[in-house]
Amino acid sequence: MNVFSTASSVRFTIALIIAAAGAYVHATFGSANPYDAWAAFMLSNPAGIALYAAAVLNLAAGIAAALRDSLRIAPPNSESILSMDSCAEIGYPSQNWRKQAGNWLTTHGFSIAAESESSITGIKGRWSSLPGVLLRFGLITLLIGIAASHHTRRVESAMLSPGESALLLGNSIQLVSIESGMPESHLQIGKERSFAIENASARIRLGGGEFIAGSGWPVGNSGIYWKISGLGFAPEIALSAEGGMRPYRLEILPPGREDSIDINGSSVKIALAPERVIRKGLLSGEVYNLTSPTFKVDGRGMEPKFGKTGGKTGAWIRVLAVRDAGLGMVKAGLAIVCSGLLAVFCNLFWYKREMAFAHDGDTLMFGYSEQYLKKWGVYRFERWRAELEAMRSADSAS
Amino acid sequence: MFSIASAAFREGAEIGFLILLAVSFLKAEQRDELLTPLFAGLAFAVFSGAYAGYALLDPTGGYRNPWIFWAITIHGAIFFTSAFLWDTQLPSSRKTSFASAAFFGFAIAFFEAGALASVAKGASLEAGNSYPAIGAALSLAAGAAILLSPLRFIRRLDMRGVISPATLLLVAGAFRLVTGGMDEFEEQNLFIAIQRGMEVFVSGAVRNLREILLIPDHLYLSAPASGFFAYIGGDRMAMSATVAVIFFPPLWLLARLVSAPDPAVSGIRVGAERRMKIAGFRRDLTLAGAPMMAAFLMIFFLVHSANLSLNPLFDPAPVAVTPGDNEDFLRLPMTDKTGNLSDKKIRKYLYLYGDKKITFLAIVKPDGTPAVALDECEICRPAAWNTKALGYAQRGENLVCKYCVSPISVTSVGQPGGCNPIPFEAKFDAEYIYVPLKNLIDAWKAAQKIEKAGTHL
Repeated sequence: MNVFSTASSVRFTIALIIAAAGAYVHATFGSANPYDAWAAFMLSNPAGIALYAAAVLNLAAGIAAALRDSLRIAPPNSESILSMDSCAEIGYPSQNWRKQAGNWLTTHGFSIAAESESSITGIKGRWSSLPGVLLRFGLITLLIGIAASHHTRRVESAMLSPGESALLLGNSIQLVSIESGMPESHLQIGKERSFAIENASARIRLGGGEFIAGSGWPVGNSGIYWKISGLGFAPEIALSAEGGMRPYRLEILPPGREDSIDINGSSVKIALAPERVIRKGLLSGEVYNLTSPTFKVDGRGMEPKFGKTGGKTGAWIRVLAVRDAGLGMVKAGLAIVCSGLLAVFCNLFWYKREMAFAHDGDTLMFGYSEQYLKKWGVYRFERWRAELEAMRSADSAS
Repeated sequence: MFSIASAAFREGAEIGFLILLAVSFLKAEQRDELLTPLFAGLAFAVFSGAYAGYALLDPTGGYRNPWIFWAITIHGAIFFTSAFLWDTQLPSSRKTSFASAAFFGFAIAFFEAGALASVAKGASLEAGNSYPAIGAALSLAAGAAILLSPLRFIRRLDMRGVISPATLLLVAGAFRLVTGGMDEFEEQNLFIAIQRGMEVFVSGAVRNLREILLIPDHLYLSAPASGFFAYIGGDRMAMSATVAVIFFPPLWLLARLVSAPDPAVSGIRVGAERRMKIAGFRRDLTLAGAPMMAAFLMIFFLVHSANLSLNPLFDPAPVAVTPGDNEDFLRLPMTDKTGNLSDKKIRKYLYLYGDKKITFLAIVKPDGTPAVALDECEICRPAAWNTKALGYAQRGENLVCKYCVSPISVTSVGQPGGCNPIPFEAKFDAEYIYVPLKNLIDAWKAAQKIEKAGTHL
């Protein structure tokens, strides 16, 4: 058995897909989260890793096979012509057959790909396998990137207010300032979540320089990806009449969410208080002032005091630091896959077509194959057969 | 006991049909020697499946999940393998062909026999005797016997070119997907199981990809391309993927069939002979395509019924309401034991006007205001005997007229005309909808006048 043929074959691809699907179906039974169980199997279990590696191998072998078929075109012979989609044989004693066949191929748009003393072959769409090669390459990059990300990712985070510092993944950072991007107010209707902050960002000092991290795409700096993964208010709170004010970081976004702080061993719940309530029909909406927020306390009798630093309610962000060797490959893989998917549409009209001639004494054998739409290829061949017979007659007459 | 007997009869008939198909194929291929392993596999499946089901399976637990897993896997494998057997003939090797025939006979009956035995066991334990189990066995045999009775006529039918190994597996697999499993044993049919699995897979894959790219969904921070990811990870994409996967085998085989070129006739001088050859080819093509079309239609029906069961009509039973003492209006609470009207689900009510029943509905529109209307359409009304088609139900965000199945946007409820339910005035506050009896009765009387005038469809 030819290992390379097997590794690059469609049947092997199908077998791998079936095996992966079977593993997923198995994960749906007895697992609360089937996808995560399946992903853990594919990326951490030896059998899953073998399946994963086999998929990458299959894709790589497919690329090699496609490029080999495009690069290495052997001169045809009678056996290879007989194996083509359509073939025929006509009497052609003239030794002018090569020139006539070559002219015929060129006239019909074929490029002469290979020839020998007794045969010649022309091809259209020789490089039409390139979109498929691009797609497979993208998939290989994506799969390797996902595996690398799974095994190498390290994540650390810290909640910081402006001026504070933290050590994340061996790097000391200081939060310089926050641009929270918070709207001035928010109307919350019903229980459906509608609050969203579009562009939160923060200026961070790292080493000798500064950079801006946001809540959208992560930014790379010093081999680490940085991102804001949380945001909130940090009001000054005095827990008792005698106690001093100090900032407390509260996770009370989106409006309606509660956080708790500990006062003398008791948990006190705090949430944003709406400024006013609007009613229309059965629906009611609460308006929250997010510029100068007020807070409601469920303190079971305890009433902490709220203050503001310099007239403004303090804020905090959560800075996320990620070291991941595979993330770059994942992004590149996705881009290449998308390009490949678009390019593959070219194969609707750009695909391999081969016309081959072989001369043996007094007979000329010719055959034709198309990569796709073989039915139309057969009809096309029947038309060309008449042309070639006419060509033979003209050559004989001359 | 009747229900278990009818279930067993149904299962027997299904098995009988599949065996009839297989025997037709083997007779057409003149491979009668494979009948023995086929029936041997079948017999082994019935007895071993029944034993396993009776001894091991508990309808509510035990080995139920692995049982269903392997049933789905084997039936799915039969169905999807068919797509890759185009141009494949029966194996010539005796061992391989015997094993294939035996496995086919085994695969189409084992899991159903086990499920039936498990359900029969439960029924027998309930009844305190073994009559349900005996009845099930006899019904299974009867169902199979009825479907197998045409066997002796099979020889007279020339099935050559109609069934091939690919189409046999395709039809058997499609049939099992449509009828497979027992509703009494499993909670849902196989297609819905596949669709839900795909849903979990697609949403999990999208979530995983977003986490890898460090742009996961967040409670309050907008993530880049969240709309795009929500779309590709949503239910519709999962359903589309499931439909594409499930339709692949019959469509692929049909495509391979119709892409076969007409036979070369250029060498035939006589025109009538040429035409006869091409006509014969196309007739063979039609016959060969018949099983594929049958499988396609079965899968189509499966997808449609699964879609309906995933988006069922919501038609609550009307709740009787009466006015309070000395009140000339009906008081409908916004919140009752079925929930709060703001959940945007339809509620139905029944008021007795003398000996007449007036059914009306209430629903909260997207703008938060409730609307009330009669549970009748101004335009179309079914015949008096067709009570199930009278009125409205809810599917998703629309009302649906049960007679003409027209979807009606909830925003238009309360407006007269078109396919809207017949409206009448009512008032409401935060706690109740107040329906004046005069308005309700006047609207109903007007609807009765329209009915008598015969202007309904």
